[in-house]
Amino acid sequence: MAEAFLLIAAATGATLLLTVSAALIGIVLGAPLVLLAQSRSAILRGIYTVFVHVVRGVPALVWLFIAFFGLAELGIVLPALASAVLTLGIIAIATMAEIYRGGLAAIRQGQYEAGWALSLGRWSLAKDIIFPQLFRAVSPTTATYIVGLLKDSALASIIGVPEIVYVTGLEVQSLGHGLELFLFAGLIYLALSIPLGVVSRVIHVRLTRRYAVL
Amino acid sequence: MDKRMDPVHTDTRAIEVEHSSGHSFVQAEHLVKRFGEHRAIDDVSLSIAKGEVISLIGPSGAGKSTLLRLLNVLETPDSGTLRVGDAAMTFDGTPVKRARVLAIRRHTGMVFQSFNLFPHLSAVQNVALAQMRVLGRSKDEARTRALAQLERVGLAAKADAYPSQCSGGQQQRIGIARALAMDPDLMLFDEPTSGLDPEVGAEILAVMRELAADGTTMVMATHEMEFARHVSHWTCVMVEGAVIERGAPAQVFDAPEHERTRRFLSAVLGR
Amino acid sequence: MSSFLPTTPAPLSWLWDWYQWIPTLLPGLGTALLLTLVSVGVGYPLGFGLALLTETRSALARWFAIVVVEVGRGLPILVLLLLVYRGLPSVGILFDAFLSASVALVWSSAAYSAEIIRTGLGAVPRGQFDAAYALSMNRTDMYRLIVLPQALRVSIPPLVNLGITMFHATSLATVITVEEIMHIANLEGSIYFRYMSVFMAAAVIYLAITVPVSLYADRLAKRLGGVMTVRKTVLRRPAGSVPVSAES
Repeated sequence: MAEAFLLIAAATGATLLLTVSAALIGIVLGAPLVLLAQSRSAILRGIYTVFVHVVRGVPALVWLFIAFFGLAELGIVLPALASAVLTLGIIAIATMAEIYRGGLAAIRQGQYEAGWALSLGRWSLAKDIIFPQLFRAVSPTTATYIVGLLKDSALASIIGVPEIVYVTGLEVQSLGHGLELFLFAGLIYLALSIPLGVVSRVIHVRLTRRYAVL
Repeated sequence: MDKRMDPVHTDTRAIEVEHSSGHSFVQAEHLVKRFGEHRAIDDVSLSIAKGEVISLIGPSGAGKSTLLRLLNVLETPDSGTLRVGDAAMTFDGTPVKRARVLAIRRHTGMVFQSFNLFPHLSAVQNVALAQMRVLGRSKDEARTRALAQLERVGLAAKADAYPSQCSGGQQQRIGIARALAMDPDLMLFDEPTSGLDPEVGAEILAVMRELAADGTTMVMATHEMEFARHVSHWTCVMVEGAVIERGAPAQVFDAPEHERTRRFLSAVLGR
Repeated sequence: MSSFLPTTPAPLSWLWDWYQWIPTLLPGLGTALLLTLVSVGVGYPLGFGLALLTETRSALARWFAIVVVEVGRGLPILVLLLLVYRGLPSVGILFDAFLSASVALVWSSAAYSAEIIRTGLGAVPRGQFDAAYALSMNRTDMYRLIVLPQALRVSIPPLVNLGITMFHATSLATVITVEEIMHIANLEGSIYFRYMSVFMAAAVIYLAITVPVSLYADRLAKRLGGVMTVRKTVLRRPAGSVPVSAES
């Protein structure tokens, strides 16, 4: 039993790896995607809307199976871990783009106008005025979403990625004690998400204490 | 209300009196701005000499703000011409040249009704940012000048405060300092006091009065009739996108020519 | 089904022959919808109860509600499913697959909806309570006539979205052998080795349910939000205004 707990705890690394990689993919690649939503071209905006609705309208498990079983059928054989990162990463891109879109919508028109009236260049307007406010507007939502990704990463167990839930399942299969072991697995998730929540709350409070809330 | 039914409107085109003599610094002619079907600015011409203070008065929705926003091309006119200093533009519905717009905006500073301060920057940073990014001033120079401008509006003590830590009146004074720091030749004030308590508004008006006394060229949309009357050199009365009457404040306020102006003044002055 | 399919399908045939799997997957959709109905129909009322419990004066009730909500929100749904299906038997509680899935999804849905409803109640301005008290309303009337209608305006759009999330989550019940869409899809896919095609069909079925509902939720949010809705213009400029770069 003690050994099972240790093995499960050790699998936390894989869970964090999945979570962090997917989060980074989403945070980085969601930014160019949201530019599509801001485009003047109705076609580009349409592509954005369809992409976001399709990616988020289908359960992650379906994408995971497509990435793991489906692509293999087409001759693209990905390891389970890569399939899981790819799947969670693409969903994270769509979700982060939506979070960015919401953050941009929260920035008042007057901020752009003040920048234009001061003759600020496009780059300066983006870098000095919009981005810092966007960052503050999206960080709480992003933190919440990363906690969501942490839980979504459990999906990877279904295709055999040795993260927390997969290892727990193996141990339960050989030892029994399903209740204790799955509760222990659950406690790890709680233990991981509580600090993230606290950190995001502290950041949020610190930012809002000083700056006007958007 | 259909403006064609308004008798006042028929003779707007007659009122294109050149009120300023000699060389004008700002010359706007036949500006038109439509929002959909609505003619927000309906053939307005304006000429302003250096050092003049112009007040725009009139009922809400008359186009005072829009006219100000045309003067620094925050809105692009559909037709007409605009010259500010040596920067001139002709509008005919074709896309405008950025460099031209930029040249005009470099001459103008704008103070907004809703302040539009950058909430993530301190007062001094708000004032310094565009100096560094647009005028290429060094950080030290921008800061020194920013502090001087804050001093001028009486806010040296608030230099390191963030907008959310300042009262509305203080925020608006930071907004004025921010615009002044760019050394504009023309200051545009878009109802700078209308979001503030009367007493706080007085702080802003005091600053503006000083600017006027220093010879700053200013155009202001305002609801402060007493202020318009005593500080401005010329007053324009706007109704439904058109300037229906213009002249020296004493004349406009005491002997308005137009029935519509009389109605407006009697409503706001309660007489 | 096999009679439709050539023995060695063209590599991209899944792009056009996926629809053939739809009839096979439909019973799975029925199961998924039933599970969604249970998790919403039982979960939301429980969530409402939990939301009220977190506001009560009894510390015991409050802590009970907080633990139930935080565990329900903090654990992956997959872990809740496995906890019920594979964990409870070790203490002698045996539910069949569907009942296990129902219990886990109800728990999750109750926990999330409790949080949504609590937020909605919190969004009702203090002045509304004061006004109700000033009019000498009793507590029941105050909640029924004043507080709840306003709280629901805030809560309904996220509750509709939570319904979509729960519908998606039913796909996880495949791991405890509930015969929903993905269970059938996986089985069929492995029999015919036509994974792409069959998962495409599954994706289309999910989209056919979720896209209309989420569009409806967006519209609902806009309508209920009224003046609170955010302006659409973002990096796009207001009509007619000119962006000018000062970069030289």
